[in-house]
Amino acid sequence: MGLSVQFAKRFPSGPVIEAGFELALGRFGLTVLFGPSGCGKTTVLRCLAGLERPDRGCIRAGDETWFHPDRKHQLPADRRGIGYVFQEPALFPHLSVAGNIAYGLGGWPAPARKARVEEMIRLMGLGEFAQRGPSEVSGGQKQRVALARALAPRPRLVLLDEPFAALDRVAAEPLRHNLRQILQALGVPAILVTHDPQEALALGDRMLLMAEGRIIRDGAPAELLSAAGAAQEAQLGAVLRARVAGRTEGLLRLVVGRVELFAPDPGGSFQEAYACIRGEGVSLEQGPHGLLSQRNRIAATITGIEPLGALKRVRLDAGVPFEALITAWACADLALEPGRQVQALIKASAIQVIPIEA
Amino acid sequence: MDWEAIRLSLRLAVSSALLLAPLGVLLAWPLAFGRFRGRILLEAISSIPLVLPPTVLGFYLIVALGPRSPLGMAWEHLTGSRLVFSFQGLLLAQVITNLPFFLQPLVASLGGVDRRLLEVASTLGSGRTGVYLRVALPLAWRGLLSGLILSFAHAMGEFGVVLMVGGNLPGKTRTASIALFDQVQSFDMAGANRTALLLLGFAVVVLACTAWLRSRERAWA
Repeated sequence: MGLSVQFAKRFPSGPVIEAGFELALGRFGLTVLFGPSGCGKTTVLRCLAGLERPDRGCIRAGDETWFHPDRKHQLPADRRGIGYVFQEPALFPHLSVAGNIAYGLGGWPAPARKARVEEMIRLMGLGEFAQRGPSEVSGGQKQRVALARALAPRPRLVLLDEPFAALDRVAAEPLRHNLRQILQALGVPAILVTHDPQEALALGDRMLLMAEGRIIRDGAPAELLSAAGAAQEAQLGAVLRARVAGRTEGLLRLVVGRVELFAPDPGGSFQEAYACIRGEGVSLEQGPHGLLSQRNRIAATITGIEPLGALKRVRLDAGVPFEALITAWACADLALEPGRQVQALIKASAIQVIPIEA
Repeated sequence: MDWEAIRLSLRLAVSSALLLAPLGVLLAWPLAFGRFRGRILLEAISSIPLVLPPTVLGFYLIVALGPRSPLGMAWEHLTGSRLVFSFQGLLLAQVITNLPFFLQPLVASLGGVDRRLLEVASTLGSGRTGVYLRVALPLAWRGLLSGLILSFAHAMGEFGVVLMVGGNLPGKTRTASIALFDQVQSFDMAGANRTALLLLGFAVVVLACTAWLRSRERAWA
């Protein structure tokens, strides 16, 4: 049985959000819906959940129609059998941790309900907090409760809307580490919304790359992110597959084609890694240069310049594609235009390194 | 002190609060969360007793409940007695008069409930009724309690509508505030003072309770 999604939703004075993909139900698989903030990822999730109504298209799960505009049919959220985890845990403040987890088990016989709640509490490592109120547990534990609550009724599909976004790194890391194992153990397919390439690569089996309201690519996360131009299309800067050429003073020396980059060493003994470079971290200069604090200086050719709000996106080629986001004023000042040679300066700290385990 | 009138007022206030609770809970949902066209009209109609002079409301209630009205005739046919100038007629009038005092704090509390919690509840299999009864209403309990207390207190002291619909029949429709009016009319100022003080003390306690509930609601939020 599969989920077939093809719909569009228009917001008043806003962009049109379109989505079209198929997804297998009934077995584990983690699909990452990946794209920059504001590109419509959450809208896609909300339409799938039945919390928003698309304008046109069709959503089917097996023989069941979830949305069909001609028949004015919209299956309510409570009858879709999906679990939804928001950015914020959104726990019911009047119920205990165990009460929150049991919420969706209303129709279950009491012994089965009790057993399921205990199973979820054990699986999420929430044993000692079961009887506490939501205000008495930490942010990371709250999000575990939210996940347990969504998974307890055995949903056909679980939708995770940036579930780690509201957590600090220390709280997010253990949950991120466990998420895949938990979903796999329960055999639940999931769609995870994120704009963090590290999260997408670490967790996803499949990636739907979204930009400006549309799904522009569909494939394996590693292949998609390192495919030439894919990350740029999604306004995520560049994700480059690099070889580790050396390690020195907490920095990695990475080689991508003929380009050498220095980036912070996250630790570990990997030999290959993805280097994620966001356009905001790249500055440009022309002509002779003096001494600078930037570790990375790369000679590149401008391949294109596009307006992006108050900024300009300057597409660059140095044997590998990447980009710089600079002000329109700076762009005019440097008389930048396609075909011109420039020096791209990248702070080492602006490069995110994602190890590729052998 | 006219204890019979005070007892009647209490009986009337408790009964009207008991009838108002289910009716108000039913009406509060569309007012707080409804997206239908007539919502504003429903809100306006349910608030009319707040702004209409009690005598005007009382007059229309006499017309609506009187022996020649369909409701009055049906009641007389069923029970053999008239609805106006009876306790039952008074109770019905009180429910209508006090409806906005119950609805307004409840609707305000429901409006303050985090929408995401309602959305989560619906993804967990709760239909509209389930979402309302299991999440929205428990989280708006202070508004519910405020509404009950306010409508109860208002029913205790209502004068104009009671006089119009119930008249002044001792033991039947003479409430505490009408007894106070009678005491003043017959120059029993000491008796009037005692009745007024009792009603004043009651009002202060009620307002203190609702103010405390509101402050707790802010703390919860």
